Amino acid sequence: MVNRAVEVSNVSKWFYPSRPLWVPFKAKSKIQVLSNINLEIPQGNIFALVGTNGAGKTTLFKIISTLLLPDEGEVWVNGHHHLHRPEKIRAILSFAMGGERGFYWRLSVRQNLEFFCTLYELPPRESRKKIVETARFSGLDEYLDRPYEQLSAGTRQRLGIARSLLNGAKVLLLDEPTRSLDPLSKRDVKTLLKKLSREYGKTIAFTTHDLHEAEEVADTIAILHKGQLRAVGKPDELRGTDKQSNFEETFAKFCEDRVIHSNVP
Amino acid sequence: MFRKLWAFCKRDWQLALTYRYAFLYELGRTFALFLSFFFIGKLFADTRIHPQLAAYGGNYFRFVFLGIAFSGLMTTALGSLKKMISFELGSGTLEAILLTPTPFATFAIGKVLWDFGLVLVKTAGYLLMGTILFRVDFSQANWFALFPILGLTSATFFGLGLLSAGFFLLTRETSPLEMMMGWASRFLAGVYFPVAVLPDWLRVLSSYLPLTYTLEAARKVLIAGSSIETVGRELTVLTCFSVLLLPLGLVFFTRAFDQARHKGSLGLQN
Repeated sequence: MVNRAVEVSNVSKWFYPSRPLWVPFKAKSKIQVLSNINLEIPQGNIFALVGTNGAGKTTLFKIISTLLLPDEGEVWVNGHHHLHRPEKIRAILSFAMGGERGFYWRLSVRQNLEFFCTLYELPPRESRKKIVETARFSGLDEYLDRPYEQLSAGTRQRLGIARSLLNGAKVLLLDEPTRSLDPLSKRDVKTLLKKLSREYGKTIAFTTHDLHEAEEVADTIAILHKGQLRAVGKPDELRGTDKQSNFEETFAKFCEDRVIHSNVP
Repeated sequence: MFRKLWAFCKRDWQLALTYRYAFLYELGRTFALFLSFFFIGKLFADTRIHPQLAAYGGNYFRFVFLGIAFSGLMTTALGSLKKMISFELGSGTLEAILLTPTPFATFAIGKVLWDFGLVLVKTAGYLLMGTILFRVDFSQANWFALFPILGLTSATFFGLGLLSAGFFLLTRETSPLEMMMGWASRFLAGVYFPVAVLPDWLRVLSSYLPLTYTLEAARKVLIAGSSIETVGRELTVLTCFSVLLLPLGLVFFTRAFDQARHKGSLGLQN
């Protein structure tokens, strides 16, 4: 388990769509969203999980973060088991969920961060210091006293990342951190991710649809399609011998209806 | 834990401050409601015509005033947890909170604590409004005896609130229990008129509602200044309700929460 920040072993997950109350005896239909996922993320790595919509990326991150329980399989984060020590995992892992919600819209950035600092059990003095530090680091200092509802999409994404830094987490999971951002904001977020990994040694895993972004930022890329892990490897490894092909073609090749596990650990 | 509870209360206070007119609206609405009943009460001034009111000092307005004030406590205890979960789901903050080292119990108590505090302040405000503006006479009141009534009522309805919140977690719909309990209590428990005016068969139903005992006990101690011993029967029934409903609600809610976590339905409402 040494040097592995995250280890996912044989994880499968099904969802059971709710059925109307008037058909209580109908057999439950179930949808498999993850199928026998095996994955390792080394310490200090930037890991990109690439997949189409509905591939199961967010579900996998929710399972790693202990928000969701798998139906089969196990997860370890820094050696802590997801069922035996979930509180240990929550102490060393942060999950910034995508989208523009997850904060109190009518409260200011500072009030939002203060609230979460208390939930992360930081003493008041340390909270104030941490908020200023994190805001400066994430480029949010000028927005601290502005209500969340007045922030742009890019600033909200950076705030999501800033919150995930409050507890000094060693492992950061980011769900589509560059979704619906303009090119400049995207660049800011990508720079932030690289800085967190290179300068602070954080292990970062993020989901994305943007293949170029994954290739540009990540040390390791995994391709998830229809709940199956099709490939894991360095961008060059995934391309194989065909160095001329672009990453879209590589991605499409892995998403064809055949499973390629050659690089899966 | 106390810092976290305080953080939830502080956050709710900060959020409440951003709705500047809500307080004024609430004050105006309550005043208008009491004013309506104040004038309706003038129609029932003669207790010889309405002997059922004689047991409550013969003053209809004082009777209904206490009914409205204490049914607010029921509404809060019954719906607070569900309202909180619905709000956090809507804001997308539930998962963010669950990812912090905060036990769900702390989170739930933190939110409910604020709502309870608010409803107690409101109830005290109602009583003050009644005394000052409508000259409601509470000179005989035994305020000390009110505390066990408030405590047991809160525990009973919080138990029902846990059942209701559990149902909401599973179905994302308001529990029929909450709707029926709210509706039936307002109609049958003696909020707007004494239970004595109901036909016998409805009075039987009324005896299964916790609010019936809350209102009966509250009116006895606040109107007649009765002692705790005098309201012993009502307190015993409320104790039985709370002993039954609180653990039942806790078990059901915990299971519903685990199931929602397994189903992955603790995230954003789409």
